Amino acid sequence: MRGFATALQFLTRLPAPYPHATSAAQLGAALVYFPAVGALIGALLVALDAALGRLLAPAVVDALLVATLVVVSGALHLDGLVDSCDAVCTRATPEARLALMHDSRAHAPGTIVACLVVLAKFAALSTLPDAVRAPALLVAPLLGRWAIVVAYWAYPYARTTPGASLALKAQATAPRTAAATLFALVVLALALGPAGLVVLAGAGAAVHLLASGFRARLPGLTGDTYGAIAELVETLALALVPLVVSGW
Amino acid sequence: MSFFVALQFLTHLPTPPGLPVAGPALGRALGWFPVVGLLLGALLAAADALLSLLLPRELVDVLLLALLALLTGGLHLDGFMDTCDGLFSLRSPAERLAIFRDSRVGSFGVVGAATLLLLQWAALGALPASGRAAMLLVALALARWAMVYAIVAFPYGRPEGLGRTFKEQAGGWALVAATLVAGAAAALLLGVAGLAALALAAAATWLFARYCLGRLPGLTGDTYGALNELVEALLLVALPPLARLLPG
Repeated sequence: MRGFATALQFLTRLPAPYPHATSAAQLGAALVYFPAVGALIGALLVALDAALGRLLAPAVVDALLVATLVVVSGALHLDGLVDSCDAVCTRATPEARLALMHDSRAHAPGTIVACLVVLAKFAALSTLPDAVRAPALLVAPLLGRWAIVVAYWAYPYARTTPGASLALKAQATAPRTAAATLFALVVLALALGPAGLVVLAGAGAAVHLLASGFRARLPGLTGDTYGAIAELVETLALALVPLVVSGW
Repeated sequence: MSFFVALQFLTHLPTPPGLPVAGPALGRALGWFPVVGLLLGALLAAADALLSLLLPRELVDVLLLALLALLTGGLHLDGFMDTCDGLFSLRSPAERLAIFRDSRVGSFGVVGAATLLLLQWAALGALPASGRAAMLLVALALARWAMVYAIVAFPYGRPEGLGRTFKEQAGGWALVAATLVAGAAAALLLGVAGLAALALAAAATWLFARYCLGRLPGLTGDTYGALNELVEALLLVALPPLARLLPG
């Protein structure tokens, strides 16, 4: 429960009735629970969708669900996406890009990508077939947070300055990643059947492509790029679920 | 060769090495701007046909906007955001020019980008299935033509800069060549509606340039990019009704 609460505090603005994690070990123990936090966010979307769907027009509900994702995460991952895009789109050395990522102000590439990602989520939600709507809402935030765990474990971290991400990188062990993946696998299989495994594989491929793209332009991954990967995998999942299920 | 100069300037598509970045070749490149627009339109139409096999219309349209931003390196969108920041601020013309040079995005730029992309997305979704490809080609070609018209016919606002190099080499004949290419392509693809779209693009360019000249000492590269984005949006909105009103 302690680990879950720490994951909740780290990934969301939802209230968690525990004191904040003070050690790297506490933070590391939370990694296993990242996909569970995603599943909780997904469950929140499913509940909101069911409640609001009775009252409001579909387009309004979709826009509110997109807004819920932004608010619940405190725009943490979107902010990372904006900063990452600004950094990798700048003509500079990998090290200079790393410094640029600390600039909290938005530039053109990040602004464009943020607009397009928000629009893509709205477009994906508005075209979700009823049959896969609840499962897709449940698993998309889960896959986004699972992607963070995989990215921590599988790829080198760029910074040496102490911080949450450096601690998490050191704590992202193979057993913890395996446990997080097992949780994701079980939820996906329950929600989508065998098609869920294909969706998980697709999300994994996306993590690898995105991480490779970042590593080609940066000395390694950073907290911002984990957020970017989470946002993009979450968006992709919303489009991928109906595609895989209908193909199945 | 001047085609590749235009391609290098307007897109991130590969070009042969060693192209001139100054001199008369830039003037000649202006005549090729609408052809670059046709090429971008053709790439978008091809991507549209392929992606539509897999994904719903709304998502394909987001991906087309993302593809266009990638192909152009976000050049025109960047100019549009800088223009929003500069023109909507209550400053002197010289201060506005300084805002254009600031690579950071201000509130007007963020609002502008979000609104513009939403409009372009909605307009893409409303393009009729028949004529969709032709409309993409015409909108992108005429948007690049509009920049040629603005460069040739209206004063430039800075003592130096990339736009200045173009402006110095821009002769009336470049506009004539660009107009012949754009007009012929629009007429071939959409008949009378295509020619009406050319007239609409011309009127929009004149209005936009007058608006800018009331607030700036002259046009700049950023305002050329803003014009390209606005004409693209205007034509994506206007082409379906024009094609209905003026069939054949």
